[in-house]
Amino acid sequence: MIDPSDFTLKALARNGVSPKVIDVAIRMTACLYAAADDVADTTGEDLFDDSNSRGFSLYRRGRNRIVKEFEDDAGVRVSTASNALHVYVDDCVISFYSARDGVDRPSLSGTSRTKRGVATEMQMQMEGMGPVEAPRRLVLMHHADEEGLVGANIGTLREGREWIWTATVYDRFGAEDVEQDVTEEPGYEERDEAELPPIERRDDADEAQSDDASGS
Amino acid sequence: MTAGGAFDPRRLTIARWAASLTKRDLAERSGLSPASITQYEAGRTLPPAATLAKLALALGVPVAYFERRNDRRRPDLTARSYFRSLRSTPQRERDRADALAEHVFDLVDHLDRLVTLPRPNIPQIAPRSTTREEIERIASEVRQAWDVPDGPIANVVRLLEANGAVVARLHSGGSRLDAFSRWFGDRPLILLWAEKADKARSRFDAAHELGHLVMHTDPDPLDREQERQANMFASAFLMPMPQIKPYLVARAPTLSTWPEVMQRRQHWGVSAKALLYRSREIGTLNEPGHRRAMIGYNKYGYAKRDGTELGPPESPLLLTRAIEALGEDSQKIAGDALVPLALIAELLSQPVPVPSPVPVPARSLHSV
Repeated sequence: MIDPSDFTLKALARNGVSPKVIDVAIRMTACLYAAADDVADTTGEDLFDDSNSRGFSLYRRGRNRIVKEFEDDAGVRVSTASNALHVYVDDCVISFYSARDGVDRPSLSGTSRTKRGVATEMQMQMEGMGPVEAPRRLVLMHHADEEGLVGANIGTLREGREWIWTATVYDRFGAEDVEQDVTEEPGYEERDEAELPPIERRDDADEAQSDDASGS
Repeated sequence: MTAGGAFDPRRLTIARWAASLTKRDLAERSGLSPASITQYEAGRTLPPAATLAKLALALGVPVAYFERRNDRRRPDLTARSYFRSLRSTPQRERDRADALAEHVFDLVDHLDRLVTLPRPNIPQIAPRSTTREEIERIASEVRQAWDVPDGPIANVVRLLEANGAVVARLHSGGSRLDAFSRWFGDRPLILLWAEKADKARSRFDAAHELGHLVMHTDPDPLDREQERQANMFASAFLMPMPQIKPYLVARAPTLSTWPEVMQRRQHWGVSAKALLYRSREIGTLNEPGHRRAMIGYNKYGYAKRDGTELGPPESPLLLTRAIEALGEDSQKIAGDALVPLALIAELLSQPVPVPSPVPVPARSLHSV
């Protein structure tokens, strides 16, 4: 169900995200997927719900599933302090937020002090000395509609509004993935070019030229 | 050449087009009136010998260039050039392209008599339907006919040349012309433009033109269906199934996964745009995913550097080798082949001579 592509796994590894953190992100996304599915089934206009109530239901059901998911995992600690959810794993904290305009347009702006705190932490991480070998603060932004989870991306934000880097953990429109194992075949530059056959002056070239000169 | 009936008015027009000159430009350069140029090109008036010499000097061709020769092979008039962006290409640029093609062919015709050029071997396969599967089949047959190994093609231009297609990369004098192809008898000619420094695009263009040469015996530059088929052919020829499948994109790349797409396109020597299009064509990437991918392609700046990062475009070699095999100086070859010296110079990457704009005294012209 939640099966990040080879692209995503490489991108996360390139950004220093540990396998354990990746595993947690995938499991968090699976919780959100189930919660979004559930919310889509049990809410709707015909039940006199509006989009706000669906969003709130998704947050609570997603949060509770995540708490349950990791309660027996000794390497993971889940905190619901400050009316938010933070997952601590491998010296990294992952928080999840909804991206109502889609995961390509994340936003942690608004009045929430916790959101602003998360955005500030990521900004400080970015402005730290040298490249970050392993990110300490990540956000998992998700987007759902009346049919369930649309997408979930994990990454780091600049000023809470723009991805510095991000990787797709789930994408409904790309869910039908294909085998992504790229073989180590030689690329086009390492292959042999076609060879031109030898080009030589014809034996009768002089004769042909004198014919040309005489106009025949 | 005398100033009698041997003058071929069409040759004057072709030389003027190749030099990118209007009638007024040529009139100024040769010291004649624009009306005279019109009269000569229409064949209503025959230019006297001194005038021919002025025209030859202004256009950088030998006087004999203007001779009517019955053995000169002309392009099939029904086989129009394929201009991919016909509607947006100014007539003047198209005229120059056609003239350059004719000059290249005159040179090839000349060289063909004197040196051993590869025999043309372009399979002719008319599509039985317009489906993608049918075009894939044709592209696969061409690869088989040419013994192209599975996987990426090392050098598309060299592959075409090895199979007898003449490929030239010349300066078009504009930037809006796309590559084009045409048949001269049984010899195919593909012109690529030096202004386009995008290697991936150039490889795709060459494969696109090959698609026209293989599939379309009755070309129509305005036929969008033929263009679609040629694009599909190029895509399938450069990125054949099933070898391309593991490299296709299944999801719209994000900022972090774009480098992986760029690595994959590097492996095949195509643009990321072409790889994404192929992914959509095969169905691993759906329409919304492709749309989002293209938004990212522009937003993250990949559109600007996609093809140029692969290095300089592939260089044709066949004509250069043939000229070298002839073992004669450029001036003599241009004179014998009756083509502008500038063409030979450009093919050999030599400085291109600029024709004199100053009319010379009539009495010295007879010796030109």
